Amino acid sequence: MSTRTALADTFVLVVNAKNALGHLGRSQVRDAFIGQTKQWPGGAVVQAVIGDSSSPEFGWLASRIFEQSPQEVLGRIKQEVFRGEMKRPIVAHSFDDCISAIVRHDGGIGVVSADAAKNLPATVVVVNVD
Amino acid sequence: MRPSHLPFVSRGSLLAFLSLALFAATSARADESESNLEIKIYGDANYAFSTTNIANPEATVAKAHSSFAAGLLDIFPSYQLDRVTFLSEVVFEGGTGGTENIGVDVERMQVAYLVKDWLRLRVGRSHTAFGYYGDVFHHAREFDLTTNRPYFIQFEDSGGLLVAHTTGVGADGTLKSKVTDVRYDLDVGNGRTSDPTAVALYYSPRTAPMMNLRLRLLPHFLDGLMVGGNVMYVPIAASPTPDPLGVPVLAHNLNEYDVGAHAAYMEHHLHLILEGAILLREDAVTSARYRHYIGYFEGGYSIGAFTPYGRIEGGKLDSADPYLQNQSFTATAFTGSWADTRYFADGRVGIKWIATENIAIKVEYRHFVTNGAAGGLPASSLPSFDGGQAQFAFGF
Repeated sequence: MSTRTALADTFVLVVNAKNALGHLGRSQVRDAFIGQTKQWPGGAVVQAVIGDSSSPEFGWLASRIFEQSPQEVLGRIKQEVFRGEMKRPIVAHSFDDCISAIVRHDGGIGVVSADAAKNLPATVVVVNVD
Repeated sequence: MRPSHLPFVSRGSLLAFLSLALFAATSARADESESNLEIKIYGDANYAFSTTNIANPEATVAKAHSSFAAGLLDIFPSYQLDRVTFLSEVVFEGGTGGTENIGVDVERMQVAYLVKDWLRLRVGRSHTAFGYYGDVFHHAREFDLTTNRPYFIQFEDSGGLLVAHTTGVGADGTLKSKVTDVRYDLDVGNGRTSDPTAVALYYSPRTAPMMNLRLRLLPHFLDGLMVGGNVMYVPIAASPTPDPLGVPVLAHNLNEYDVGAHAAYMEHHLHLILEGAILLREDAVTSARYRHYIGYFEGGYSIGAFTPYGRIEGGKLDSADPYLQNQSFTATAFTGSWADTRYFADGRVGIKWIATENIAIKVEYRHFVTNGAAGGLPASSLPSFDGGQAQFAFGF
């Protein structure tokens, strides 16, 4: 099993069920997490939800989606916020924090472990990444 | 950076403002994960050396070849609520023009409303969407790859040749297609006064507004690639005669027409920027024309937390341009004048280390050459010298 497949099996992307996206390309996900996409096709304003920079969720986002180090991705996010190009991401310190934030924001998008995703509330759904 | 039409602040008011900012930052941190209001603090400290004299010739006859420099302190409040976002940069800074006083300037103050992904509206004072560097890197040095901005993209009061700040309105958005995304930016704001270091904050110096259009392509076949161009018109107002403020005298109005092109690639640990512009200034009375050609290439490659980099910059200027005659430029512990400058070139190599999430350390060597006056040397001596800089930049 390749590293990428293992990583893909370990974590998943989740969004608010009101904004069910089905699947997204890697570049579409990346654009959402750095403010290049500000609004989803359904009209909801994009709200990134990220883990601590040292968390495995953020590590997965950096390696699987950005193919960069967590430091590089965090620096890019901070820079885009400083530019005014993206809303500040919500920092979730736990699975519950992440799900809670996505439930509150129609355009929320975050990363949770695949195991935890087996017990998602009905208001949050998994998005497949091409 | 010298403040534009703003008074120097006393130590008392400075401390009071910082205390308020720190209190607000602490309060915001109580609910850091999701707070509408957040205040960040950015800044930098530097050590520079040069083979030329970097002491301020207006303040002392002594010579110095190295100096510490307390850089800027940048207070960055931001607020967001659904489609509305606000941000500002309040910058405390000294050193420009040889002064040791600290001045305060509201460098950015903008409110934006997201209508659709293809339309966002903005009002206030913001950085002009010209080229790549201008509105990607702002006053905080933590995010820059090098220790300082390219000379011609410097802010107005540090000798930048282009309009760095726009006081007015703007719109931007992204149009998506299967082949490429198309990004546009439109700025409309006040023109420039006869003082090239000033930003027209409260009064438009001429009826005609400054107008800027930028178009960019972000092709899908190569994620991270961006190719774009600008056209910009900038009205510049003549000085009153005699000038009551003692600012540089500009006998006639000028009309400035700028064209720029840029390309950037920021994927796979690469940092590549190529940017150039042509400035045409035309005297509104005599129709005399002055052309300036400027550009740079900046490249870096990240290896973990370290990014070795290099940048080469150059310009061919029309030394007869009256707007250049009283304009100086600054870098850390180093100043020069654009007056009578026909060409300049700067090459630098260095390494940036992202030591922690909040701290970036850079060490850089550079070589600068010009036919104009720089580094305390007169224009006739063809200044050419080497220097270096270490920078500690932070953001909390």
